[in-house]
Amino acid sequence: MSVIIPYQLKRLSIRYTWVRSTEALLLAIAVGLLVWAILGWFRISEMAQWVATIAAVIIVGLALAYFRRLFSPDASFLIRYLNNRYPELEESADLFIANENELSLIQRIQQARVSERFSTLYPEVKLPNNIRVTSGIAAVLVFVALMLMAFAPGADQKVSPQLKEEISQINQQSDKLKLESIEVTITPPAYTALPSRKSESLQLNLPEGSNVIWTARFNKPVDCRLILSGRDSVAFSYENGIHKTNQKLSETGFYQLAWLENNHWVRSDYYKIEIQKDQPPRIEIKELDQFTRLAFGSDLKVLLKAALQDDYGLTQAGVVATVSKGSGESVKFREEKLAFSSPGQISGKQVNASVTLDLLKLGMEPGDELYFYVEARDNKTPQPNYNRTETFFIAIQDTTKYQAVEDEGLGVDLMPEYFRSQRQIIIDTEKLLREKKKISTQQFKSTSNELGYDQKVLRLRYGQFMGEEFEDQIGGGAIAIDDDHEHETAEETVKRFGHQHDTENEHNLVEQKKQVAGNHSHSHKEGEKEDDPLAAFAHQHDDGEQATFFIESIRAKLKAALTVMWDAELYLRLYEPEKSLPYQYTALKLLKEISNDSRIYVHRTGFDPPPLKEEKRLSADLSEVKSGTGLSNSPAEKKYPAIREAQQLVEKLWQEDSPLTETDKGIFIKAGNELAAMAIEEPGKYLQGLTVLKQLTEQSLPASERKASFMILRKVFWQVAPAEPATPARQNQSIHPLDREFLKSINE
Amino acid sequence: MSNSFFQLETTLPVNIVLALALILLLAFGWLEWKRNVRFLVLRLVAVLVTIVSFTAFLLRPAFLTDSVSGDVILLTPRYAKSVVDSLYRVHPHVKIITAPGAAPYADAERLTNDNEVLDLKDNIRFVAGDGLPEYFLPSAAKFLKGGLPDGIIQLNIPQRIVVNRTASVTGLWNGVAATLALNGPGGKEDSTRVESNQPFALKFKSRQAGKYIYTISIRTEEKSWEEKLPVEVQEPQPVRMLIWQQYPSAETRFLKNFLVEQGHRVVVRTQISKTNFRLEYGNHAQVPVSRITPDLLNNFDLLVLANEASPAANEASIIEQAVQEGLGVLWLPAETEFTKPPFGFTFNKIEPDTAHVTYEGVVTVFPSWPFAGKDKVVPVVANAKRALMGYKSKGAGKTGYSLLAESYPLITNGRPEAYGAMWTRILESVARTHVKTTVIRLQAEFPVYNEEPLELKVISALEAPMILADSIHVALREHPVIDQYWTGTTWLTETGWHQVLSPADSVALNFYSFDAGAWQALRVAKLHQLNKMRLTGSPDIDAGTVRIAYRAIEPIWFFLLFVLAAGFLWLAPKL
Repeated sequence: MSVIIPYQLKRLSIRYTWVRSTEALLLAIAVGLLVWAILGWFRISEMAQWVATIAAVIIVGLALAYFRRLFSPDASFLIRYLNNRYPELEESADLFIANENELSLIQRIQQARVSERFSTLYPEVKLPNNIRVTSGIAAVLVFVALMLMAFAPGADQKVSPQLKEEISQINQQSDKLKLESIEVTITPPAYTALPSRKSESLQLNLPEGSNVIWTARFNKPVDCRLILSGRDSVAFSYENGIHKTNQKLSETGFYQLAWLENNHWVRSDYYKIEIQKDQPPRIEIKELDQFTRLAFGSDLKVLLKAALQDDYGLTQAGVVATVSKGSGESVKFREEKLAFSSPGQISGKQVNASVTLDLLKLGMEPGDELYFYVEARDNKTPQPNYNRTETFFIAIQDTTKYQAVEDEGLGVDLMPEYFRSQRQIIIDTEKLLREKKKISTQQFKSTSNELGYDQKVLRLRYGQFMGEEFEDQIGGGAIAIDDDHEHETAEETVKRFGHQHDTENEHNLVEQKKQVAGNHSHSHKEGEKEDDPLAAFAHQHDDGEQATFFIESIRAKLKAALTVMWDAELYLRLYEPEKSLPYQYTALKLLKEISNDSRIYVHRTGFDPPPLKEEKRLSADLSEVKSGTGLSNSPAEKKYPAIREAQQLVEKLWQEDSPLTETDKGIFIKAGNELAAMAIEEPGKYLQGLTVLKQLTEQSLPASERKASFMILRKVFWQVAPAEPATPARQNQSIHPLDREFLKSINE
Repeated sequence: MSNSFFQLETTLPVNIVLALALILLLAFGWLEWKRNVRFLVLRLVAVLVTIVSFTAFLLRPAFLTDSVSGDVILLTPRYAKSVVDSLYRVHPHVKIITAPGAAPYADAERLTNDNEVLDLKDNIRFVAGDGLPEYFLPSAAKFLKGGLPDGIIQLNIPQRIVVNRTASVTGLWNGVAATLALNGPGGKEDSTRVESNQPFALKFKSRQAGKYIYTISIRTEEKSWEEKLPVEVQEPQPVRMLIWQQYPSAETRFLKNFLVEQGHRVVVRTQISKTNFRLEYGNHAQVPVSRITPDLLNNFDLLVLANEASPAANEASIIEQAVQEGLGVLWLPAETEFTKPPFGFTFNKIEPDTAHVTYEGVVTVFPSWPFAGKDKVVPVVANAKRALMGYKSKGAGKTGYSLLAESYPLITNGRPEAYGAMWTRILESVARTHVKTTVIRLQAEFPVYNEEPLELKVISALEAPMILADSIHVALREHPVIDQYWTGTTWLTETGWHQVLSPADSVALNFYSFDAGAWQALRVAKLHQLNKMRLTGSPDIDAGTVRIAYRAIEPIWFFLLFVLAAGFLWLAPKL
């Protein structure tokens, strides 16, 4: 038999022991963790928990090892296993461990045969193990343990290390009295829906309006107080060995604990009270410009979407809409409150609300404006926070609107009231077209003609501003004209009424109109020829080109409008209102622009200087002009004098080891008073300094921390001084008089 | 006597003394011989000893000593060993002594106390290493510079640091690249990365007046340490100003308000009509101000002429006289005045009418008068083309001008610090410089160390100035030639702030004294400078020759021998 076989068998045996030990260890640790977690549910000391856990690990580990027989390795087990598992060994593995001298010849032959096989087999030998199952069990146990730990009843009730530190600091201040424990329970106001919790530190950070309960346990009853922001003091009540007080806190500040010891009050460090203010709701209006202008023809519905947000919850939200009608002094307002249509009820921290503003339902007409804003209230009690957005504007364009201006600058009443506006003509034309099928042809033609007449009147009226003075033509026999020409061909009519761009009289609108309105003559072309020479010699006062009511651009626009009106009228008279409509729209647009332009012009004139007294001018009378004297003084004292003084003291002390004198303490107390006033505003910035000052004046500071606390004070005091601009300073000379005389003489 | 191992250092004639001694010896010997007492031999010996010791007492014998040379090389810290080795090879007879703190050198004698240097002072021929402070400097020696430690080797601290103004500490760094940070009471003020042997600058601005210890923390790759930087921040004293204008303007109004708010004493006179004025007093008593008089101007540090207030001829001469005496005049011109500027200013017309001025990295555009000064002035606010604010000296006073037409938008735009910085510079440059009755200065530059003599220089107009250093009286000595110039020496023992005070006129000088370990690199650099400047002698050492030195035997020994021998002679008959 090769000498290597026993060695290989030994290796296999060791490997088997390792695998089994690993399984045992894994299970033992998992069980230990479980024990730790279970003990966490009971209020026992951490030390006991550790001891129990370690004991569990050891016991389980040893038990498993015992049952797996790890302590007494069984050599025959391996042989049995090999014989069972590997048939090629021909049940002869036991020959490997037999004493060679005792073997018979056959046994020896068999041993040699099998040894050879075993050598090839050895690298592939797989030992029995339960690693998978064991890992599975361990994993389950660990999971259960973690769950138990996470939901342990006391998981969040451990005294935090910071609080422990603070308690031990308080205890350093007195010899006999010991603070055993202190708990600060913060109960936020109900509306916040926040659970009440125990603070991890005496430094408090809490929602506005929270109720705070301090529960302290001393080693003996004591007169104990709470001093809030250095002003109010609240006594603790004593019952069953527990000192207790509560306070509702709504303002940022700081507090101290104070207790009576040997007939004098001992005060703790300062602890800050930081209040998280309940923020007012935040409102954002989406997808809507602050100014929206809608054309009357368009869909007069506006979808208003608002995103509402609050830190604790919203209770109420809505849209406040104001419709303004009319203009000038006759403007009327109507306010309406609209609820959001979705969601029906406003609640929750974040709400996406929307409502459709139907302008027609709100009773709006062209020219009216809608002002609205979104408002929201949160659930704060007793007084909810309120917030609103800026005001948004929606206006429906008033296409007919004009401004009757009273300023002297314009001097003309643009619009007489007794005829139809261009917009009205458009509306009537559109109505006529809609009703075309319902009414008779006769009626249709008649209405169309009437509209043509209205268009003419309007044109003439605007013509006035161009210097075309023919008001007498407005009334009277215009309708008769229509009758006269009833049987004309369309082409003739166009010729007769049309604005013929290609005639030689292209721009002489006045003349042409004159003929149309005045002569009703079929032979107007001859008349025109007759009039022309006269016109050449006439002194034309009423030349539209020279009219001076408007500035150049407006006149050009007005002229263009009149030209378009001609065409509009033409097609109305031809009973083709649909062709007339585009001209009417163009005319309307031009008139609107003219109206706007003139408005800008009017608004420019405004200032009316007070009248000068002519008799006073240039008289050189100075009798009422007197010499005057003004006095101004800056405050003599610098801000924060005590802090400035204390700063210098700190600069001196932080380098020396000398004890504080009574004077020093006095300075620090004064500086502390100044600092306390600032700390109420900003406890985070100054409270640490205040604490150090208190410790210094009470000499409760250990010598080792002295220097560190002076460094804190240096920094805090330094922050107090406000930044100011540089200022010139009086210069002092530090040279010898001889030098001075020398300098003086070389500069002369 | 010449080269022998023995010589007599006496002024008495040696032969006569010896002859007398021989006679005495024979005489006393014969007398003893004749006495019929015991111990004859011993008595004869005693007589011999008596006479010989007495003779020696008179003649003072001296013997050649072991030391062959008195010359000394003094090794101070950081000496260069190779240099000393070479020197020793050339002068093998020279004695090498190491000062306290210096590295040991083979066979060298070590001094344990700095003061022992004083005993050697005259024998020192070479000083190697850092060098010696002024009070130890030998009269003739050569200085062999040693290495410089890493650190700040030059430091310039502004003489006057005023509250709310940016001050800059500059210096020179020696050693590997390092990060320097300046920390004030409120935390870090500035920091900079400095490469090896490069200059650096650290800036800070103090909002509070007083005495503070800033620190410069130094961090290199290997180590980090801190040096203290004492800073005295001064509260500005108010300036008295008279603003004289023909008509009011926003510019002067803002300037007046700004100055009054800062506590300065300002009087503004605005002409309303020929005989009517408006007077405004800011932090100032209501004094009558109608005309410019020498007395009026004497009460102000600065006269501001604004808005066409160019003085008439007689007033101009009064002003010029006052300027000679120290008054400052600032002229804020209007455009019409450039045709005939006052105070001898001359201007050229130029093209642009705006000026770009940079303050703390922000460029501001000011409307300005399109003129550039022709005279040589000290520019206070200037750009590449011209001095926008500048002044020139005249006698003891100064006249200045500003070409900026409007600067007040800086205040309305929320940058009062830029406005303040600009006006502070011109107003302070031009305003009257006050003469103090006493000026106290330290002879030593920063840093001042404890346990070292500290020389004070005092310039005082007082008859007999008295100076207290930390309330200890300092004896002053007036300069033999220069009048009013006094010097004195004091000695500091404690680290910290000290004050030198002249109680008669309350002039005080505050300074900080350091332990010996502080600011090492700077100290060594300064010692190098001092030693290099002062130790320029070429030491006369004759290489190889032996310097002869005899040491006299102390006469007390001869006296004792004499007494013993004589005592025996007296005692012998009684035995």
